[in-house]
Amino acid sequence: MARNRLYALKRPYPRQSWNKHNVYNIYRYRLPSTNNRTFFQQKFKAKQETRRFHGEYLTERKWNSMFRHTLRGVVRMNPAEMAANDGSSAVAGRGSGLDINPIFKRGMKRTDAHEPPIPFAQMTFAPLERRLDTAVYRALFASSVRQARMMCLHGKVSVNGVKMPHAGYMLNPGDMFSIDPVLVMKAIGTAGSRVYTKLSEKAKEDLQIAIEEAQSKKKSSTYLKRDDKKVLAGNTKAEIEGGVIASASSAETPDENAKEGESETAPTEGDSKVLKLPHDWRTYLPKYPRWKLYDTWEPKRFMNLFAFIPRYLEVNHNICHAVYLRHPVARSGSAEVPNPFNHETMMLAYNWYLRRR
Amino acid sequence: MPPRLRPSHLPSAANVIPESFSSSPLLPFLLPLHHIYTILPSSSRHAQISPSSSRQFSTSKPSNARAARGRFEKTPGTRNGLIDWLKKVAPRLNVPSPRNNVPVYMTYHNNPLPVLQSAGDKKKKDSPLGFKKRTRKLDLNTVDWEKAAQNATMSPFPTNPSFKVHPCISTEFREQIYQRVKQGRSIRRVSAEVNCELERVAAVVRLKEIEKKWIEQNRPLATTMQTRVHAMMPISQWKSFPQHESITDLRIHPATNNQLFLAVPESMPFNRKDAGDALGILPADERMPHSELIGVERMRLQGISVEEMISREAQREKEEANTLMAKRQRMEARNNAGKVVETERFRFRLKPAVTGLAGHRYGVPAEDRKRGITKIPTRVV
Repeated sequence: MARNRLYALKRPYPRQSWNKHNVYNIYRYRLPSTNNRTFFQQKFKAKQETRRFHGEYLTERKWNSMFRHTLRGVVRMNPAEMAANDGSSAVAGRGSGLDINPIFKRGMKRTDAHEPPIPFAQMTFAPLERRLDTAVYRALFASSVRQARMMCLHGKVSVNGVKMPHAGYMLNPGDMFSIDPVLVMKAIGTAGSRVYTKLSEKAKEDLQIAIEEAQSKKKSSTYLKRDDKKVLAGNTKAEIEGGVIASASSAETPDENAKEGESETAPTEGDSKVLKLPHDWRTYLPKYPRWKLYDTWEPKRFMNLFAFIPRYLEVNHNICHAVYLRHPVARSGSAEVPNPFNHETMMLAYNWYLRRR
Repeated sequence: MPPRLRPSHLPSAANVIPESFSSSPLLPFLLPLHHIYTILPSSSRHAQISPSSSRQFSTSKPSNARAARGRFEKTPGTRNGLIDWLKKVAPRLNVPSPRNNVPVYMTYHNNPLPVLQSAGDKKKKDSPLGFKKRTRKLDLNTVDWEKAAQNATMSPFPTNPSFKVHPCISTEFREQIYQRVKQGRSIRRVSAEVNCELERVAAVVRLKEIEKKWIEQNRPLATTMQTRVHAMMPISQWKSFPQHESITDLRIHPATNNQLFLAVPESMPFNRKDAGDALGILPADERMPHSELIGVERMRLQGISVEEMISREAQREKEEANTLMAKRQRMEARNNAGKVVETERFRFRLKPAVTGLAGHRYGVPAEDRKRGITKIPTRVV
């Protein structure tokens, strides 16, 4: 798995991630130009661009074995119409139906008569959507496909209640996959420790005294002993319960104005003594309580730009379970594989892989 | 020919964008590929003649670099472009809690959220020059959310209009589906009632069952995350006659992708059933999910009374349940046939067999025991 230059700024490529570098890259992304290029060059460029987005951590050999030239599509049927006629009118006349309303009348557009075409080429990378890691990302359980892959490899993802440590497991229709909600909340939320950015003056003083004591007791280690930590936990807990944290979490508009503006070091207030907390003061605090994350969860930055769940998944975030309903399909005017490439680029990429079949 | 140097009294031409483009929404598309640009505040707009141009070969930054920069200038490092973008554009893109389930996607840049009339007036008074002042943070209270919901673009990627986001079903919707199935109605019937795909209804019930179990066990639910995530995306709310999605999507059969030339008599009608026979597949009437709706529509066309329709539908549902039950029993009988030996990985069904008659006894050697080869399971039961 190549790690270098994933979110390069100089030669940017869109990736499947909510990383700020990636958001910036997608924001200024321009589709590859086809001017003055041979057909081969166009196909190669399109293949390069699309593969950098879809499963860039897979080797070309692996992807080639997954590629299928048959693309799934659906047509919406109308039961009332099917009940009214048996379809024989569609082949009447010279074999393509009688022209009751000739479509190319003057002043009439083609779109008035026809449904938009099915963007089949957008389904080129549909086999990748079956992979467990991609499905975990699509279900909004991870903030990037690589993070989802890591979750799988670490054995955090179960399929039908059985631990599935293979990120490349191909989901079958009806498979249910699940992750621990705490892990999901950490993956797609802001870090829980941010709550401790707001400490009152009293808490800061207590903390400083406790840290100094700890450092004087044992010079080799700057960390508090477990017992001391518990004492400290008692002190800060009182402050946290006393409304400092509560006010931060109860604010209904989480604009994060207050939090971002907060400086980490303690501010000086007139005649009060200057507090100098070490840069790693958060490590002295008790671990952020697991249960609190359930109430004070905040989405990760830029999550709203990627907040959508494709139709082939049914997701329940309450329990962090999701069901893979069926394979993704294309229908008139839309395809179910999310990507930033237009139809022409995908057509070229599809042709590239078709070439070898 | 030696390279021509630009006269020092002119600003550097390489990275100057004509000022007429300055307010164009197409700016990112007009710029060359991978061009990193910065937009400076309007105060420095008139700093046309740049003193830095007299030091063309100097690598050090001039002391008054900021004042000397043009309106758009390529920054020395791409990282600066990112930092500028993070300061100027990113705060407006990051809308963690939009109202009215308005999805704020990347296309937001071209279609900004509409601002309430009163707030808009206030802003106009603030800027005497008449142009919109760039505000770094988006004030959610000044946004006209109803209008925003109407204007919302459902495509998250500005460069791919053919990917459209379909709404998810709300938590109340799920609860309604679950209650209906719990009342003893079939999945098929509930699917037709609430206009959700068959698979979706079944999945919702499965997920709800687990959720109820967790509540019984006093396991905490991530309800905050659920509500916050749903607030960011389009949601179809529960209504008395919900129209969530098409339930009669017919899968395009690969056999229909190829042309088939068939001589048929001109006087004979050629209907869907004949087409299915010619292609060697079932006709669309049977392959379509919810094919029973065709029968219902047919009864309606024939003018059959509602009571009669209901009784016929009940009869059909009963027959369907019976056939399904029979199928399941057959399958179970087949699975339990012979001697069953359960191991950790396999479930052996042993049947008496006669050996020595066939040529190959052990088949193709498997490579999955070789070093470095992972055997990923293909299904989890």
